Amino acid sequence: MRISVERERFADTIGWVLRSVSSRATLPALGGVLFDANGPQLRLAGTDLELAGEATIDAKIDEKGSVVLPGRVLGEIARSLPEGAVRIESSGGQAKLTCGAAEFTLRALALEDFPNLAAPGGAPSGTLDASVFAVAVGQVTRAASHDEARPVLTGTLVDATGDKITLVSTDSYRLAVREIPWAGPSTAIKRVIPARALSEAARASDGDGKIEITLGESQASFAVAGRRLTTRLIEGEFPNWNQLIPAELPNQLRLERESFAEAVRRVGILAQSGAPVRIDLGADGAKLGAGSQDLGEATEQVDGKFEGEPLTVAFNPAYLLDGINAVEGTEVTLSTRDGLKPAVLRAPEDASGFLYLVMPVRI
Amino acid sequence: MSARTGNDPAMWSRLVGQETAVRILRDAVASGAPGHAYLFVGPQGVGRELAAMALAASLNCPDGGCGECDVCARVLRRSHPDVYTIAPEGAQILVDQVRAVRENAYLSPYEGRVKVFLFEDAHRLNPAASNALLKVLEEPPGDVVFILVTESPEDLLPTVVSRCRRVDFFPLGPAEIERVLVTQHDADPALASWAARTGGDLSTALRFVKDPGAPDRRRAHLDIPGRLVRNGPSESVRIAAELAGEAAAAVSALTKRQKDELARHLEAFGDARATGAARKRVEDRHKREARRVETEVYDSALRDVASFYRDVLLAGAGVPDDALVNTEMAERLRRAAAVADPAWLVGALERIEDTRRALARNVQAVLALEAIFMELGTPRARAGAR
Ligand SMILES: [Zn+2]
Repeated sequence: MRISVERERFADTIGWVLRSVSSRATLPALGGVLFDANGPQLRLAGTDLELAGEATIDAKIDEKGSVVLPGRVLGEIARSLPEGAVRIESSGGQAKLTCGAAEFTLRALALEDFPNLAAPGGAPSGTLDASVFAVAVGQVTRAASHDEARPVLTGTLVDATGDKITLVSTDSYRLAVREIPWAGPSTAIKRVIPARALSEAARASDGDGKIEITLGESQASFAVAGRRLTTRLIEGEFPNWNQLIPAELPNQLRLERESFAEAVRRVGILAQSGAPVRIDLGADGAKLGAGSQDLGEATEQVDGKFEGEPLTVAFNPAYLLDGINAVEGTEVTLSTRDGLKPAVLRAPEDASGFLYLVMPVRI
Repeated sequence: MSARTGNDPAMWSRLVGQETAVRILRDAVASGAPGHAYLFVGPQGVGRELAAMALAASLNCPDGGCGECDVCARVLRRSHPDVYTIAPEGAQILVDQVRAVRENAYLSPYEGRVKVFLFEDAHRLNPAASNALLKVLEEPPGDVVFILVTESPEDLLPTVVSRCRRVDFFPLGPAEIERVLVTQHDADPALASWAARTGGDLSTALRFVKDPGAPDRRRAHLDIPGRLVRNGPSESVRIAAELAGEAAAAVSALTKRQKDELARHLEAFGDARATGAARKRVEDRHKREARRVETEVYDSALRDVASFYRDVLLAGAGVPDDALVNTEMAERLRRAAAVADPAWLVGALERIEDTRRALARNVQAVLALEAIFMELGTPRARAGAR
């Protein structure tokens, strides 16, 4: 293989591909980045056996070929190169990388041990604005579980129909749902995707462009701006989340979002070792309180518009804050039925298609 | 070598002398519902791992295990991303290893159709690891096959065993071992014939063929009972020290290979702070491998000594020479049998077995070896091997 590429593009792309390269691999080839110069462009790829990142960039290809080069070293080299074209030449188990007066010789890793990247076949399931996708992923994945005992909850349900795509995560203490209108597949597709893979997919673009989503049988892939992230799916039945959302939420409190978040953060300081933050909902807004006999008490009043019967509910402050931060816009509505049923946070008028449900803590 | 037809995928034809196991497994594959868990029971070196790889290949190769395509080749090299090997780290399979398996088991395959998890020496699953595995076996994902390979199924959790389909593998005869050595490992026919007769099992015979020092070491081990008779229990300290020396030599050969591997690892993953944890994992694994190599030296010595006493017992019972493991020393075995007490021999074999188990559990090796040889060499007891 003999190629030359533009330095900055090369360094950026290597940096992104390396996000998919494992640091805990068992096989040396998995610590490598694949250079595939057999097509019209240079394809770079890395994988940790759960997900794979590949990117194509323009290159002058003087001699076709492929080689796997050690990832971390390559990343450091790419970042440190001087201005100019980067030339890479591989033969006989090693590669020479030159840029300006700098020259590196690297030992190649076993190409035959580098796994195939089985991107799902078929047409894409649909396309979204990359920026909309990135926001939705940020809103939803925060509610995914980190407990490996229930693997399916560590993922995000992606439910694609002809007119909308719905992302759902829950760790059974809270639930985040985001619906986005799109032109999707004629037959509905449901897949559970590792939350980490979705976050990586969201980082694939700088916000510009369209992201192409393909939900295959065993893999899902996300392609944007010459980059493609492919991930394995989580197997198993995702819980029927619709039934968790109470049909009636008669008590509605509308608050300024940032003031609410700051108050929860402050009062939460005294809600230690799993203690909840209490909220008294009434005509003049919310009165937050937390504390214990050992530690002391904190309270704070947040003004807002309330409709319904006054009541007291209590939440895990971290879960509550996650929800308030996930809502878009300047205002947030907290809807409840009573102190035991799940409460819902969303933007007023429900324009964004986002909903965050949080289980109250019994007090 | 092996004729291939559409019905005879090459992966299976590599297995020698295990017709029953091959038939069970091929029928299972052909049925389209291969089952989620297997227990491969049999002595080491008879093709249990190869059968596991044949099963993995036939479930993932587009041609049902052709033995030649990229999928089969990577399965055999153990670098296929959907085929995982779990081996004891040190003397045990640890719960963290099973947790990683579980995480993987619930993900869709990386590129193939079926994920295969091969547990080598499954009887070394520690209790926590066994229980974690049991949870997965109770609710196995649809596209997973677990293969537990063991020589002592009685040391596995019964609830684990009861969830597995058992497939038995039988010791190979010398003629079969010789055939495998010549056809699959390109061994010199004369050397293969000798190694097959004295090795007793395929992996030992293979070691004899590949490692020029192995036959001498085995002869030294087989001389241990005689030394105990000639020199008495005080000899036990010297023998234990010699074995410790043998183990140290094996470990230092390993250390050289490990240094190379670490250098390759650092090349691939770098030596930055972020990868320090990965580097530590490699180094930890190296330490565990070293312990394993050390344990294996002691274990092979005890197996050899046991084979001597077992042969004495058999010779005393009047079996023909070619039924003995150590045929080449048949005359010495018969002389020993003439004066041996069968009850003592049975007891000695049990004690050796106890010591092997204790060593697998990480006891002080040299002390345990001194103790067993002391016991085998005490005057009252050594009537067995005069
Ligand atoms: Zn094949």
